[in-house]
Amino acid sequence: MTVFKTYLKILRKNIVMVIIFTFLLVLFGGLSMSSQDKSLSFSAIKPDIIIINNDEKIGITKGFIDYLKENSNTPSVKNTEEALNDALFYNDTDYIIYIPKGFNEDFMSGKIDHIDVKKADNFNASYSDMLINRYLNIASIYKDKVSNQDELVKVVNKTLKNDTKINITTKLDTTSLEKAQFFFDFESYSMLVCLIFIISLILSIFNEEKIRKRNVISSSSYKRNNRILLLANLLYAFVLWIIYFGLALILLGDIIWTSNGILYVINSFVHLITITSLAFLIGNVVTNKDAVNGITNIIALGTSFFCGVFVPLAYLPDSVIKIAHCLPTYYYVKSNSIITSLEEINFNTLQPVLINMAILISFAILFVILSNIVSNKRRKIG
Amino acid sequence: MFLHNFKYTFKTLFRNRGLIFWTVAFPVIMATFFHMAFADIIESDKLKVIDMAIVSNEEFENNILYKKTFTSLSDEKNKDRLFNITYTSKDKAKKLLEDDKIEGYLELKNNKPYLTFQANGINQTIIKYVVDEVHDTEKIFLMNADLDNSLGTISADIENYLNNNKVELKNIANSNLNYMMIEYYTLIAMTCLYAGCLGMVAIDNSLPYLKGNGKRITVSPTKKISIILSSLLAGYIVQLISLGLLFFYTICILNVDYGNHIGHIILLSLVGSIAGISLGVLVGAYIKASDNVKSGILIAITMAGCFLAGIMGVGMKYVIDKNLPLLNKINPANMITDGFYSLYYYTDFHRYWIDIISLLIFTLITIILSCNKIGRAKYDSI
Repeated sequence: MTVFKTYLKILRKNIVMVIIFTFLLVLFGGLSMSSQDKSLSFSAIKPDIIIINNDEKIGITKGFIDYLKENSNTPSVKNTEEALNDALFYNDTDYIIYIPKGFNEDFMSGKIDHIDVKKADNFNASYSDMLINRYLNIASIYKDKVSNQDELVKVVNKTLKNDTKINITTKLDTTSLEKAQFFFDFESYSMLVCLIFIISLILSIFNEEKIRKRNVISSSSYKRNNRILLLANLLYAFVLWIIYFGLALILLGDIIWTSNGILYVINSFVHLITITSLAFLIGNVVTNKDAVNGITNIIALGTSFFCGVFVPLAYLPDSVIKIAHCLPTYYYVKSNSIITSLEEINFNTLQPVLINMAILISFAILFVILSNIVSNKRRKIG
Repeated sequence: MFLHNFKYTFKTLFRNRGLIFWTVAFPVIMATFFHMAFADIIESDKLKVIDMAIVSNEEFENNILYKKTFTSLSDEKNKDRLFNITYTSKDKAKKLLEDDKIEGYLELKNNKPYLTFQANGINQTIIKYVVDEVHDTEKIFLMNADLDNSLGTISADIENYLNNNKVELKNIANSNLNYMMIEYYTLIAMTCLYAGCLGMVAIDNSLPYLKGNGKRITVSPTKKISIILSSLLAGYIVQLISLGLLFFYTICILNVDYGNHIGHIILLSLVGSIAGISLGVLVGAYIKASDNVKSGILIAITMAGCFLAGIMGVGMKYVIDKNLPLLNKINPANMITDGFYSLYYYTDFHRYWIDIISLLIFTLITIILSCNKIGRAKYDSI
């Protein structure tokens, strides 16, 4: 009981760290939940376009603006040049178009040769270019034949009306699942910090030479102490996992109870086992408790950057992915992304996920063996 | 005395391994992580060649308009190439889609285009856009009696028509749009503010209530101001060395581009470091607690500031700038980040100087507050 009480005492003293990182999870997890649009039918991606109109909103100018508004989203940004520039830099908007004064007359008489725009360096901006060119091209073709501007707008709109039939094959609610995936990916970061920090800190305190000497000569057996320590660590890890599961229930709602959702939860439990054993190993290797904070940060941040927690795996360079193969969290994140796209659940489709889980368990066994070797070597106090 | 204390504080700081880790090694490690993880992220935002399939049935083979357009848009020599197309049967196209080898496939049936996608996305939007556009073109030629509506002669001009910009869209945005630069800027801001740890340790050594040598220094016949200034100067020099290392590492090894205003960059770093040191002095002077608690508080303040300035996601800085501008106006981490950002993105220095002045005001206020506390401390012998 003394060992367990001491464990709780140290945990209580450092609970702030656990709270901060749990809060981060809620914050980031919650942010990504904010838009809940379901998308089982086709909806075109709408780029963000800010329209600065210096012309009167009549005739072709009005038709053009209406068309742009229909095919894009308009972010609300203050109409100052600095705010607009900031919005472009931070991708709050993909595109800014400045419709010049006298646009409708100049367009009709063919005098307009350019329009000023500001565009981000991304695919939405390229797509905005296409959208704008399409309208202006079609309007240019018709403008010599239809001189009345309102008529022109009607003809152009009629041409732009499409009847392309689109069939979406997926039956999955990918948007919600992607959000769930984001939550569970980020969970691994919070878990890494909370588990490695607390477990290593406690083990390094117990491993401090003078405390170890005291324990060795005390009447309670060395094995018993270690067993209690192990159980306390497992209990702490399990409680943390339960808390995160509760958060997932609150933030993600019904998604958790779908078969994909349950797979995420199982996956996170397997990952928990691996991380706990990793924390054990680190706690046994590190004897200086002042170094725990630094080591935790490096391992948690490094793992999360390399394994696709902060930056999706698809965006990571190949060299980084190769390094990530040596880290357990990679297999966890990889499984999460497979689960997101699982439509049918059977042995065949689940195979890659099961293989990843087996790899995670192998990592856990490896860490346990290594920490046994380390602690065995440490038992002798010279 | 000034030089004597300077020399020994300098040595003490350099021998403090924990301190050197956080101020020197940690930023360098973070920069390495950023560099590895973010190397491809900007590229991945750009439009890529899209894999798609076309069901090569009789109707498609006979439709010159569709055939020409897609041949031209998938031509490897075309610099505006959009697609990589597989011409195949419907069943094979379905299989390719299921295996995630293509984004979608097109089938012409009864003179109407049918598209099949697995899910929504930007690539699917682009495919639909092109199909719509070809369909529009077909309509234009059919609706326009004046134009030659024999598709055979028109087809040669299709490519020109589709890429025909009668009105040029002139991009007037600044070309420095790499928002990932903000990550490096917040990292420098973090390093500047970590100088606070140096300042705090330096002050702690000269204050009587924490350490033995603080008591000795206080009773020695030396002016307090001389002791404090020499300690801070030593802290500042250590800080400049660590900042110099970070700049050397990011510029020479990671090839980070900070822009051409080298003088302004150095000034901003110097002022930022002073602000960091003075923040440390403030915490050191006002909070009477153990070293660990104090540095914990200081690191928490620094990390919170950097979080708001965008270290954990560039979007955060923009969200705060846009919605709670006051919070970032008093946040020293943001002042430093914003200063670098304005040097990188804006051509005039207006915003840069506002950031520098804000940092100086911040420093002045913290110094006045600290002097008020340190100067008034009196110790009785009871």
